[in-house]
Amino acid sequence: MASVAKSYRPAAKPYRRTWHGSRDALVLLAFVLVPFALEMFWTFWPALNSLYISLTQWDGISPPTFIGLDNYARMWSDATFLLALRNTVLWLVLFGGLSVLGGFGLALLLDKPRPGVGIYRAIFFLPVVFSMVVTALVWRMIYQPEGVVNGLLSAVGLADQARIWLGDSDTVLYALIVPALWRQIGYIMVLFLAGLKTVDPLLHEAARTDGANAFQRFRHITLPQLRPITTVVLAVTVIDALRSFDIVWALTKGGPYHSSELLSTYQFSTGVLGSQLGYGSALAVVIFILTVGTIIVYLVRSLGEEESA
Amino acid sequence: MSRRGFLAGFGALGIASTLGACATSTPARPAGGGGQSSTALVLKSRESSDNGRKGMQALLDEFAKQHPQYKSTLNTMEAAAFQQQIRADLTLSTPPDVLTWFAGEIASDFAQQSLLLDVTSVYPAQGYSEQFAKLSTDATGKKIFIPTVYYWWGVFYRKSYFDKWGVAEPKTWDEFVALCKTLQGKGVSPIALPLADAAWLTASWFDYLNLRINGAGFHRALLAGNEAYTDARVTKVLDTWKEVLPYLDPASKGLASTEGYAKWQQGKDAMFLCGPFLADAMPADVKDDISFFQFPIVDPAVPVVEEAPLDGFIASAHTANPEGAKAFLGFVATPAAQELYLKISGNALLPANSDAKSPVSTPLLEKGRAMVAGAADVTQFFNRDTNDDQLNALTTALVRFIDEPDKGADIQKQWQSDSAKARGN
Repeated sequence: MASVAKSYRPAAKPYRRTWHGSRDALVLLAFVLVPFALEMFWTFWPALNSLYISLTQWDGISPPTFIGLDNYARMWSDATFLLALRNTVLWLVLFGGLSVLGGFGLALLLDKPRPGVGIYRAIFFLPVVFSMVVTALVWRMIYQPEGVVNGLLSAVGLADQARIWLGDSDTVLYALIVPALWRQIGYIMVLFLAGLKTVDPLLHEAARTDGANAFQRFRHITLPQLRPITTVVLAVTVIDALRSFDIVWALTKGGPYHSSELLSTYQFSTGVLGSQLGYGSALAVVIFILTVGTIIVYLVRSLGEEESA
Repeated sequence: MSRRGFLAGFGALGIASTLGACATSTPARPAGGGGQSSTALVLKSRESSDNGRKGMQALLDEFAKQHPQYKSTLNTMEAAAFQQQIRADLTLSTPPDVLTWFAGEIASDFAQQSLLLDVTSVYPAQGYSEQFAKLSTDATGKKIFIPTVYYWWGVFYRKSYFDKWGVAEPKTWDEFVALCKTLQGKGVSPIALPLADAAWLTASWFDYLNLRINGAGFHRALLAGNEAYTDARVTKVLDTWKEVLPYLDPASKGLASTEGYAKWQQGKDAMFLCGPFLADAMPADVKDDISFFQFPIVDPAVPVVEEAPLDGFIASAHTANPEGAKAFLGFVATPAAQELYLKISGNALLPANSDAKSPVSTPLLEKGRAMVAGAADVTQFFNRDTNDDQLNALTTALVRFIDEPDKGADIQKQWQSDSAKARGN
């Protein structure tokens, strides 16, 4: 581009501004349209396709039958869907809430430079670099009937509390949230650590001089300064919570009898592994709406705050 | 223009420009390759183990020797992915010419949708049992499937352990329950059923009890959706199963299948309703110690049916090389080809053509062959006789039944509802 522009420059000198203006516009337009076309083809077009498929009954072989909104109506009488929805909400609250609180707490603890703090940060961050499937393998061993958890319980005299954590419909969902948290907390911690680095130490200095105690400084200096990073963290957490799939699929595939089913795993087993492409697509659309809806509500709110600020 | 206004406009543009595009079009294809013929022959296989792949390649090499006019290639895909793609493969405009597949409901579905090549002309007049021939035939009487190998299901045990415990094979259900009780008394967990990653194994118990109590006719009607899971006959199956639930390994739900295999190998679990793939997974020195017994007879008045899942080949109706595809399917139906495949792959499977001999005959294989040959009828397996959506409904119901055996009626109701929904009713 640069060389082309240069070679034209002498001849077009009198019209330089407008000539360049329209060229820039063209280049800009290309920069927008080319990725847009790619995005259209690879993302929006398949997404719209699944919107259409969700209005049909289709086994993937015979031509699809258009059935309107029947797939969506079916969800409300589908006990498994309702259970998966409940589990997903529970997952969002527990996984999302605890990972933000835990990550923030760790970041505060490990923010101040002191000997060995790097090692601690590395330890908490380590689970993030493991593939989720590896994490699942490790936790499968921990949860085994004769595994670490039950072994520890027996060792401290709580053998009657030992159970098949991943096979018990009462414990399975929580048993799955733990490894998911184990990984996510380290990730959130790193985000908050980066955020804490941006807090101006001079403000703390000034507040201390004015006699503010530690809590007041935290409440009125650290927290407001962290607002931009908090926006990112919450968006990331909501997205990660709603798309959680790998740990559940690797450990229980949503079982036993759907008790650890999330919307994502239910969608996968009906629409991808099973042959109910219509219903599976309808589930995918619902997940999409939930995710995008949550994110949009949140972004609109935080953008609004930014503009009014 | 504000940032948000720009984004909104952008989004609207995107939606408008793509609404015209349409999804799910399945182009209608003329059957038989539309007149164009080719000499290329693509075999798509789901035998992705090293030995399985070698076996398939050996088949193609031998076929190439006999039919040098065809240029064949092997395309192997891991079984789960293969299974997900086969629907798409068969509707492609240039499909793989021949594919590995299994007998049962899905093959019949494919045939009904005219996706499979009619291979009646190469189906051997002799060699296949009447039952296998029936399983290779579609509703209109055309042969659409060439069976090559099959296996069986039985209650596997280790001979040395049975000797040590001083117990013998049971013949009837009552003897089986008594045996479970004896074994439990000796501190052995009687029944292995690892469910953590293989909940589908519950289907083997349901299938066998259903076949022993209600027979093959009800099995087929139920799986086809013509009978309901709320039927009293299903209740009877569950009630019978309930008698042995206390004898399942209590850790069952937390054990992955490999962990279950290991416990059975070590004699911590005594018996395992399984296929000979259990023996395949054992080390060489254990293999000779493995035996099995026929699933115990519950009602002597019901003709004995065995599950004999049948693997083989299908050809796509849209193949560009129908002559080559038929020639290959005719070739794999021969005893020589089936013996060759089993010799190279080394799997504990039986050749489907009864004129073929097992290349490495073991007492275990012969016992399996004799059991299936003596059966009044053979079925495939729950998910082969229906599909994986129905299997999901089953595992949900049965794993819950293991936990809550007193809620049978509720479970059956939910099962029927899940099953009907998966069928789209």
